[in-house]
This record gives sequence, structure tokens and C-alpha cells, in this order.
Amino acid sequence: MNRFLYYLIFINMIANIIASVPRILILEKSNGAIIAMVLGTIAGLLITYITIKFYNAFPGKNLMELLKIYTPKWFSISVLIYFAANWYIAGSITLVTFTFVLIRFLTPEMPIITIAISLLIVVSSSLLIKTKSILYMIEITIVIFSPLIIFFLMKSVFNDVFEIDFVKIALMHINELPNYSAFTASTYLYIGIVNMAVFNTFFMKRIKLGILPLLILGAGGLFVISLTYFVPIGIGGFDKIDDLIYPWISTSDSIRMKFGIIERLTFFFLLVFLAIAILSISIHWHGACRLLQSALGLEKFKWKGHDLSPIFCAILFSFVSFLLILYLSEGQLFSYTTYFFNLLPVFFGISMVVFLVIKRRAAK
Amino acid sequence: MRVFTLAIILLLSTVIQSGCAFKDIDKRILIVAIGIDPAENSEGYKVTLKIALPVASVKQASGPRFAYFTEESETVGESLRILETHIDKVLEFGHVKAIVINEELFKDGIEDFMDYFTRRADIQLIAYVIAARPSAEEILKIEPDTEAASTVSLLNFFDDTGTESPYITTSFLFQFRRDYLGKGIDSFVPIIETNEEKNELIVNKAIVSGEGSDPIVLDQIKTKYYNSLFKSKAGMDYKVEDDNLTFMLYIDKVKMSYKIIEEDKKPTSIKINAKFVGIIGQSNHALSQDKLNHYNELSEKAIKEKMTDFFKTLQEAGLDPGFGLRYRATRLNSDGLYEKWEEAYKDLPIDINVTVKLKSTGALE
Amino acid sequence: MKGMSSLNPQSDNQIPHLFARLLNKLQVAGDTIHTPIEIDEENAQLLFIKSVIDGNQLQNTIIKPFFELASEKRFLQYLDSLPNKIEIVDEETLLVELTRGMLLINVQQRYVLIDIKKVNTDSVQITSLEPTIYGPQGGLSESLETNINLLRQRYAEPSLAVEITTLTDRSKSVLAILYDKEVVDTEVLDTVRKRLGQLNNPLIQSTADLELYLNQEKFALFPSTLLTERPDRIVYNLAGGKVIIMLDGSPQVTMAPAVFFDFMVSMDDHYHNFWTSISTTFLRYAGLFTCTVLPALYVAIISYNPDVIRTELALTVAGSRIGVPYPSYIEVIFMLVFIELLTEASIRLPKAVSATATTVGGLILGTAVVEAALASNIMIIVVSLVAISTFVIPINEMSFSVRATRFFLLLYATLFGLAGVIIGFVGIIMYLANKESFGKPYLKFYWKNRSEEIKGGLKK
Repeated sequence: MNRFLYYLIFINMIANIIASVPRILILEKSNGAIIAMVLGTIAGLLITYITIKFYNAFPGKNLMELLKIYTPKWFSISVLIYFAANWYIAGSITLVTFTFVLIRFLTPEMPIITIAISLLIVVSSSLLIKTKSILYMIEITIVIFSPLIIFFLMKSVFNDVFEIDFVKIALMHINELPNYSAFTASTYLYIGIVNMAVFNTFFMKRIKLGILPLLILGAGGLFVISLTYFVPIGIGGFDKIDDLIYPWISTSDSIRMKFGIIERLTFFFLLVFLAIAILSISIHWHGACRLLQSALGLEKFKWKGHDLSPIFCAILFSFVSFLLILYLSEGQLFSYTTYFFNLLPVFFGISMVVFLVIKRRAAK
Repeated sequence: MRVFTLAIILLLSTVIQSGCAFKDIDKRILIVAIGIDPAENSEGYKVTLKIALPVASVKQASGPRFAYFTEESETVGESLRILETHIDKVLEFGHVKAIVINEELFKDGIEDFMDYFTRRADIQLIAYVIAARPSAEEILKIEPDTEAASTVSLLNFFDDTGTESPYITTSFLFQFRRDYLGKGIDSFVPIIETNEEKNELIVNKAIVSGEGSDPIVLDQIKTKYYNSLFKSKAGMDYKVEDDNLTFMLYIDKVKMSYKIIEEDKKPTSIKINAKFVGIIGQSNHALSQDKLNHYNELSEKAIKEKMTDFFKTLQEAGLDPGFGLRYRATRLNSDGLYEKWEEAYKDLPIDINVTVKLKSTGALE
Repeated sequence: MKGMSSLNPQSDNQIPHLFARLLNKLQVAGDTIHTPIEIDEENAQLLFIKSVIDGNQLQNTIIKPFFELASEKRFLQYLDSLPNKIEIVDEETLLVELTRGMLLINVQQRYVLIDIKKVNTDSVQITSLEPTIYGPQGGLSESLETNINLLRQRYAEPSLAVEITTLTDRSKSVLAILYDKEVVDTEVLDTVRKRLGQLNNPLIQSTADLELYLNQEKFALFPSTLLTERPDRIVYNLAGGKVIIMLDGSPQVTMAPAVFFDFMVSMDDHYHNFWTSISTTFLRYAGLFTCTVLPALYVAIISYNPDVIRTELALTVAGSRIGVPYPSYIEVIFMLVFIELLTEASIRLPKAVSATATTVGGLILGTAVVEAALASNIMIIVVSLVAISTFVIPINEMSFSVRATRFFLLLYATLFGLAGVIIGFVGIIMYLANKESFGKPYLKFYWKNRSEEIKGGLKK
């Protein structure tokens, strides 16, 4: 399997460690989170498998091109707009969450607008760059930061304040019926695969889908989701962990590097995951922009030979996020995120229908 | 063109930004410890801040310089707000490494203000929670003779880079919170005292507290047992007495495991296995290498006695070092599981099995 | 040549038309010489510019044989068989050729152009920009032919192609494109040719100059071709499939495409043991990281998040800042500019004086600044560390770019704090990942055998 595909999937998994997924899982800790996590992983794998299988039939073609060729205009435009909205929301959730995290934990005195600007400058310039460059950027950033991430994750499990009994208590809640929110939240970890809709242009060769890649993805996903859920519990305890709004950041603040350059791991953690989050937002927004361009036929929108549509997208996206950041409260953000996650099956359902339609028409 | 837009955006943001969160380190004041006492006159709390003052040259400085501020108010947060108006610099809470609480406050209402410290995101969760005797203010104001420039000796006790002793319990803020609020486990917090001359800090006791039970104070020996059994802190001395033979064990490895025995879906006993490995460090009589097994047996008896005493004390006070947690962790969750345990714990028999393995009699026979 | 008075008035009416026209145009040159040589009835006419031809060669290969052969016909035959004979294209080029050191001969109504130019620049220079411990110590010369010669000696592959063209600017410099026909990326080669054809700058004096115009980017921060003076680096890159562009008169060549990692390779890496070269490479990247991020990190930590560092360090830093009147970012910019000035000064100054500049600037001023409480001790440490780690980057062009980059990061840190450092860092990665060098992605990993995964990966 192509390494860039792994990146797309794993970036999203890791970015979600800090966002809303752990909180959703932890809120459902005694309502069947465990089974839901297992089921979510299976569902995520299944979706990954189907998506790859579909795009394998059309190597080097992205969803926009396929829709244009095989489906009527009204259909393709409405699907593209729906998809673009989903992509945009997915990116914005991470963006808004991170803005809140930064103001809460890193620079409480800084005006929220300044924080938003600092993020938006970089994130919206990702709309202006070439789609291929996004892939290169992901790779470089992953290579730079993955040793740190691995060190951090290892450190969070292998330290003497990690109390395995709390984890066992959490595991003992296995005898409960799976919870729907926890299920969708765990499926959300696999959302990265949908980016193939945009990036399939660069996957010229058929992607081999053997046992090994699926095993890696399954094991990786299971590993990430168990870390997401169990590490905060092992360190913060089982009983009142649901009071913490950002369980993972509090967890990272609970780990001490006795002989490290800096003693508090939390800064380290925040900054590394900030970099990952920027990548994740960039991927989603870039995708949203490309889908929107294609849906509205913005390619024709030119001025003196420059394509202005990415700039249009950047301004639109930034403006809407500004409003979101200014007017959303943390509680609202969390409940809207939960709604968004809960609507995921609808999104996947529509994706499947689109795949089916294209496949049927292409077979003719 | 992009470069220009970027430059303009950046310049504009300089205008917006000007002087908001930008505060240089010399305009901030680093709080290293917060002390909390009950208010003297009215309801509420007395908050003491210990502030480390920067020294221009560490090499030439004779010792650390600290400043102290005290304020009484109804809540901790309020006192801190008032203190901000007393100091010309920004209060920097990111360096708070110790929260020193008057021992009396453990008896009631500790949740009220501990919540404030977890809620404030800028206070580190790896700050130490320490109980103070006689009062937090007094303890904070002690500057021991061994203190060097730009270090805080209060903290050196707990951070495992300086002294490491089995008498010292370490409790981080997050740990305190999780153990205090957790069902089936209670929090162990070190008590810090001072001598009469007020130039020394002494840490060798611990206070055990949990939600819904009265706290108890563990004496030196029990504190030592807690640390070596539950925190695997080695290097402990054990005194063994038999007729006229008295010797001290120097233990360098302690391992303990425990499980809860259950019959008819009800906990019936706690089974503890403890293994000590070490040498004999001191004796009032000549010892023989051949009789190590005999010494082992003597030691096992002595240690078992002390351990039983330790666990009984906790049990009688209804405090739990983690047995309840283990019980919950090994049973499938069901309604009323913990209530069943709570009911049974107070008079649950504890079955202790001690193995001592002495490696040598030290450098002498 | 003896009779070097100007034109011989007696032979005026014998001057061929072409010579007359050329002489007319070359009047300003001053040292143009037109002279007939005669023996018995046989004669020939020579036209050349004295200062650019090799007198010995003229004597030995032209004048002597003429008198020995003593026949116009035979002399012409002799000239025709000379290896340094050059085809005459038209009058315009002829003029250029003459100014470059060609000799025009008129025998029996025929014109022959012979190359007898004198070159004073073909001595090989010692490498000064990219010194290494091991490996060749000699660099290139300022003469194109010597350079091609040097490369052919080191890269004796028949597939090494040399394309020679002339620039259209005023220098009319000769330019050579070198590549290995078997491994070269044809896409890049075409782009290079195309861009060379599009050049319309009035004067190009050196390879570095040429490089700037070839990039075709107005606001480039990072170099997209690699300038080097080391023959071993050139050969290494030739074998890797790159296109080498050489300009006559320049002791450096430039090569395309260049990716970011090329700039971080020192030729020493190839001459060391495995672990030694791994650790020096690591050291170099650590230096790169330090010199870009450290000033920004200093400002972010000192002014936004002093809780990041340990309490003891925080107290020391706060203590060292006692009395410093400026906010940290002014302190940093002030000291950085100071260090940049120092570096710049030691480049511009004659070698003998530059040591004094460093001593005065670095030692005396540095201490005085701290004494006067204009900057803190820690700041001096940071700035010196930054300055030193900048010099770790093997290719100078890259270290200049990095010096500029860190000001951007510093600005971002001043505005947005610690998060700004990371956001800005990702931003720089984004900029680099989006940059292209001759159609090739600039910042990208080229794992072995994976290049075909992505359309248009660089062939290795």
C-alpha cells in the first residue's frame, strides 16, 4: 500500500487524540465504550477497505473527475457541495478545538483573535499550494515529529504513575451494550481515508490491499484508540476523569520528565500535536476547497492569469471559522462535534451510494 | 503578491497584538509554592505565596531570596485576586510546584479549594500536595541552612533528584485528585514539619484521606511501610528484635502483590504476598553466615507484625491503599459492586505472607 | 610580431572588403592589428586583437610555417588542417570571436579563423567556500576549457554530454551544459535549455548571477539551483542525473535541479565511516534546527511562557535580565543584527583584518553589552550558538537563506508566542514543500524504488 495513504489515515487518528474523541469515549465510560471502540474499529476498517477498493478501479482519477464523467450535473454538484461541507466542518472542528486549547493551556492572556489569526494564516495558505505539495508536507512533518510522538506515547504508558488497576476497571465495563456516540467517535479515527477523493490523482498504481496493510491499519487503529481511551484513565483515574474537558492535555500535564530539558511534558505535547493538527486541518480544508472549486466551477474564476478561487476559498473559510471561534462556547463546540460524529453514518452511506452509482455507470 | 499580502497581514496583526500577552520574564514573578491555612478571624482561608526572586548572579549570591505574601479571604481564588493588586508584577502560576495545606484542612472541605487548583489550567498537575504542621505559612517561611541560590529546598525533598528516602511520600496534584476522589483508593500525602529553631524541614509522616472518611496520620514506621510496599521505595531499615539479639535489615528490593479472595460473590479476605531482599546492616552481636535462614525467619515474623499493624490501622479508619480498586478491577462491572466492597472492607481478614531473603550479613560476620 | 605600427598605408588598397568593415567596427579597440605577411610574391593578411591572442602561438603556428612553406596554396592547406580552426558563421559572430582572441587570416581570397587565444585564468583554485578535511582540495579554474577538462578527467564516461552555447548578453560568455546522457532527467534538461533561451538580461557576469535569472522566481528565499566549486560534488551530482551549467570565467558551476537535502550534504560525508557520517549529518541538521528556531524560542519562552523551563533556569534567566530595558524581542533582534553585521564585515574585510573585527566585535562588544545591561548573558549565549550553528550548513547559499528565515520565525514568535514558533515552522515546511526546482519538488523524501509511486518523481 502506498505510504502516503498511511500518512493520511494516521495523521487523522493522531490529531484526534487531542480533540473531542477521548472526551466522548470517556463520557460513555460506563455506557459501553469498550465494545463500541471495537465495533468502531471494525467499521472503520470496512470503510477503508471499500473506499480503497472503489478507487482502485479508477487509478489516478479523483472523485471530482469521476463525478463529472459518470453522473448528471445536478447529482455531482449536490454531492460535491455536501462533501465539501463535511470536509470543511471536519477541519474546522480541529481548528476551533485547538484555538480553545491554546488559549486555555498555553497563552491564557492572549486574545483569542490573535491565536485564530496565527493558525489561519498558515492553514489558509495551505489552500493556495499545490495538492501534491500537501502530501510532501505531510511526509516531512511526520518524519520530523513522529519520533517525538512515539516518545511521548511511550512515556505516557511506561511511567510509574500509570495505574493499571484503573485501566482494568475500565475494561471491566465490557459487559455493556455498545454506545452509539462512542461508536461513531471511534469510527471517526478512520476518516482520513476519505481524502482519497482528492488525492487519488496521485495514486497512479493500483493499491494492493492484502492482509498485511489491513492488519497494520487495524492494529494501528486499535492501538491509537486504546491509547486515546486508556491512558487518561490510567493516569487520571476512572471515577472523576469525565470532569476533565481535555483529558489528554491534563494527562500530559501529569507526566513528569525528571531529567528532561523541560520538566513538564505538556508543552512538548501541545506543540507536537499542534503541528499534527495543522496538518490535519490543512488536509481537510484543502480537500474542501478543491471540492468546492469543482462543484461551483470556480476554475474559470480568473484574474490576470491568476487562479483566484483558492484565495476566495481561503477568505470564505477563514471568515466562517472566525465567527465560529468568536461565538462558540466550549460546551457548544463539544455538543456540535458530537452531532457531527453521530451523522457520520449518513456521510458514509452517501459515499457508498455515490460509489455504487459511479461504478454502475462506469461498467456500462 | 502573496508575500505582500502576508506581510500586510502580519503588520496588521502587530497592531492588534501590541502589548497583550507579551510579558517579559523579568516583569513576572515566579510563585514556587502556595500555602493554605484556615482563616484566623473569619470563615475562609489564608493563602500564603512563596515567591522566588531572581538573583543577578548565581555564582556570587549567598543564598536564595524569597518573598512572602499572605492574604485572607473567603475563597482561595479571591485571595489570589486580591494579592495581584499588592504586587507590581504579573503573578506567574506556571512554576507552582508545591501546594502546602494545613493539616487541619484535611478534616473537612478540602475539595472546595483543591478543585480550584485543577481548574486553573496554568497550575501544573505535577505540583506536590503536602500537608503542613503546624501551619502552611510557617512551613513556607522556613529557609533551611542547606538551601543554595535559586533552588527551593522544600521541593528537593520530593523530586527524587536529591534525597530519596522511604520515609518520604510523594503525591502529585493529579494523583491526589484521582486517589482522593477514586472509589477504592485513598490518597497518601506527606506531612512536613519543622524543628524548634525553625531552620529545618522534616518529612517523615503521611496523612491518609479520602472522600467521606476522616483522615488519619501515619507515624514514621507506617509511612515507611506504605512507601516500601506500595511505591517500592527501597533502602529502608527494619529493626528486628529477638531475645537479646537486635539487628537492622537493610532492604534493597521490596515486592508486594495482593488479591481479593471472594466466595459466594462476596469478598472474604485479602491475601498479601510480600518479598523482601536485602542484607543485615547492623547488629549488636556477632552473626554467622550459616544462620541466614534463621535470621530470615526472625525477620519475617517481625515484618509481618508491623505490616498487620499498618493494614489494621488503615482498615479501622476505613481508608484503603488500593484494595478496593483491585477488587473492582478484577470483577465484571455490575450495580452495587463497590457498595458490597465498602460494606465488607472494615472487617475483612488480611492474610499476610512475608518472605525475607537476606543475601549476606554485610561486610562483617 | 615586429612591425606593429598601425595600418600600412602602402597596402591600403589591398585590404579586402571584409577586413575594412571589421577594422572600421573594431576601431575603438585600440590594439587591433591588421598586418600583411609577405615572402616573394606570396602573401597573407592577418587581423587580430593583440591583447587577447597568444603571441607565441601566433609566431609558431602561423608566421613560421608561412615562411617555411613559402607558398600561398600550401599555407592554406596547412591552415585548413589545423585543429583549432573555427567555422565562420557571419560577420556579427566574427566580430565577437575576434574580441575573444581569434585570428582572422586572408589567403588567396579565402578567410580562415584560427583560435589562438591567450587565457590567463586556467589555474586551478584552492576550494575556499566548501572546504573539507579529506577529498580533493583543488576546486575549479576560471576557464571553461580547463573546467571541462577537470571534469572529464574525473568522470571518464563516454555518455558525458557537453553542449556549448553562447549567452546573448553583453558579456557574450561561453556557457556549457554538461550531463550524463544515460541518467539525466530529460524533463529537467529541456527546462534548463528553455530557460537559458529565455534569458534576456543585459549582463551576466558569473554563475551566481545566471543562477538567479534561471530560477525565474521574483521573491525566492531559498536557492533552487546549487552553486558549487568542488569538482567531486559536481561529479557526484552528474552521476546522480543532474544538469551542470558552467559559465566561462566563473570558478563555480551551478546545477539543477537542487532539492533541499542537497544543500545539507557535505562531500566529507562520503569520505567518512558510516557512523561518523551519520553523526555529522545529524549534527548538521541539529545545527540547522537550532539556528532557525532558537531565537524565536527564546522570545516565546521569555515573554510568553516562562513556565516551560525549569524553575531554576527561569530564575537564572530572569536574574540575567535584571536591568535590561528592552523587551526580549528587541534584545534578540538587536543582537542578531549585530552578529549579522559581524559576519558580513568579516566577509568583506581583507583576510588580514577580519580577525581583528571578530575579536573587537565578538569579544569586547559582547562583554560590554552585558556589562552595560543592554542584553542578558543568556541572550549572548543564544546568539553565539545561533551564529555558530549557521556556519555548520555546508552550502553558503543555504546558510544565507536560513539566516533570513529565522527573522520570519522570530516575528511569528514575537506576535504569537510559543504556538507561533511551531505554526511558523510548519508554515516554512509548507513553503518549502510547495517550492519547485526546475519542475521537481524541493522538499521531498526520495526513498529508494518508491519514486514511481508519485507522478514525476526524480529518477535516481
